[in-house]
Amino acid sequence: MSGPVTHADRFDGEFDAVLAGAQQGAAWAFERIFTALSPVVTGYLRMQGAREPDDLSSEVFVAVLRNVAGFVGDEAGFRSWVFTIAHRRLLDERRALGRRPVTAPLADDLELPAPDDVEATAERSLRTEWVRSLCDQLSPDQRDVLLLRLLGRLTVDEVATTLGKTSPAVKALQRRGFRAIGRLLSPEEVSL
Amino acid sequence: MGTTGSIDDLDIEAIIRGEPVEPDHAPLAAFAQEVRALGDGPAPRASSELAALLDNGLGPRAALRAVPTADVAERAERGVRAAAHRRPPASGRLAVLTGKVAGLGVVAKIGLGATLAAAGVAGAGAAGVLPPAANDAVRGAIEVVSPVEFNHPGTTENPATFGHRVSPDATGAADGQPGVDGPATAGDAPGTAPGQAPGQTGETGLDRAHETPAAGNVPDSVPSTVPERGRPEDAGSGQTPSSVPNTAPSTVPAGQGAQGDE
Repeated sequence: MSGPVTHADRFDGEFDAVLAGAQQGAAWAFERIFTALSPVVTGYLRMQGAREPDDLSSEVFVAVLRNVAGFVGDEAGFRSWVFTIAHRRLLDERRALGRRPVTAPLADDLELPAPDDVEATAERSLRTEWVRSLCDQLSPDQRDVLLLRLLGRLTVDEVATTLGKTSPAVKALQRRGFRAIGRLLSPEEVSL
Repeated sequence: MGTTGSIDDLDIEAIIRGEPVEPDHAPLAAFAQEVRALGDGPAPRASSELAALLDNGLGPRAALRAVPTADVAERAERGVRAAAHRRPPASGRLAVLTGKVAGLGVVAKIGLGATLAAAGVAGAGAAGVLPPAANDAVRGAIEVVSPVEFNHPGTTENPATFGHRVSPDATGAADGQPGVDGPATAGDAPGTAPGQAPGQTGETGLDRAHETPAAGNVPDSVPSTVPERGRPEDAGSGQTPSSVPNTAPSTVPAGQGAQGDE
């Protein structure tokens, strides 16, 4: 099993340079930001039941790239900002659709595998489906917190800001969320 | 069940960071690792708008337009919506209107509010969007003060005969005198003098000026030529500039940026 992914990994330690380029409107910097963060953002949106995760992710990054000139902060703050936009976009979509998160099968939404990547894609699909089935058992607030912490790599305080909650409330939600997942996992073995 | 019973915040933080944990928490650690792995896939396909940004970037001027960090997320959302609808942001137009209203005095604001409220009700009544009873009341009120007649529900007026009906007053059937009579007014009401519209007293502005605080500075006679207003930048100079511009300035004054879509 590979080691934990740190914030620096996404930009190979070059976040400051990438941010500066993006704030100048450089296409190469935009591409770096999109490449680094779009998979995690799309994964977040997919786990949250977004109807069209790829399209919604595009909307998020259009907003990010058009407004990056006004961002001030470090990589962690940038990540928090991006996920705040993603979460709000998600809420907007839910309001527009007037319904709860989609629990439809992921088959309609999975990426098409490259010809030489069928096996890897299929394995990733199975893992995604497994995670999705567990997350669907959580309350919406618990799911928000766990996904933002695990996938978004946001701190407790950043999650609190994104969700409009207090830090103690976020801690309580993540505690209850992990315990709920634990109860779901206890009667079965985890196979990787 | 060790997976859930003994987990605390420290264990959770270790799981989130991907650090080694007790065997009892291994299933949760595996779950956390699978969630993190969701972010390791390929980048999704980009929309056409996003693809254009990724290919071409943004112009330096647009890129350097700074936005306050505190509300960047809000502005980002508004900007995308505005760009999607391809129209100038409502905030600009609203700001102009708000500024004008803010400049009014208290009495004017109250009057404006009452007028807008009445217009809103009357408009809604004319459009027939109020409840039926309110519709009838508003329609009746509007018909009393204006010559407009509404098509009442249930009538079968044929659009082909529009304009063919002439009032009895106009034909002379009502009073034996053809032609529509003018409104009758009291002899001592303002504006009853021939050639005067209601509200005019026959006095000139110069006459009324003596009733104002400027009475001490009123000229003896009206100048032979009317002074012409000048450009805004000449305001307060005491001069009478030559002409009033009838078009917007061709250049934007310093300090104002170009309005974009966002």
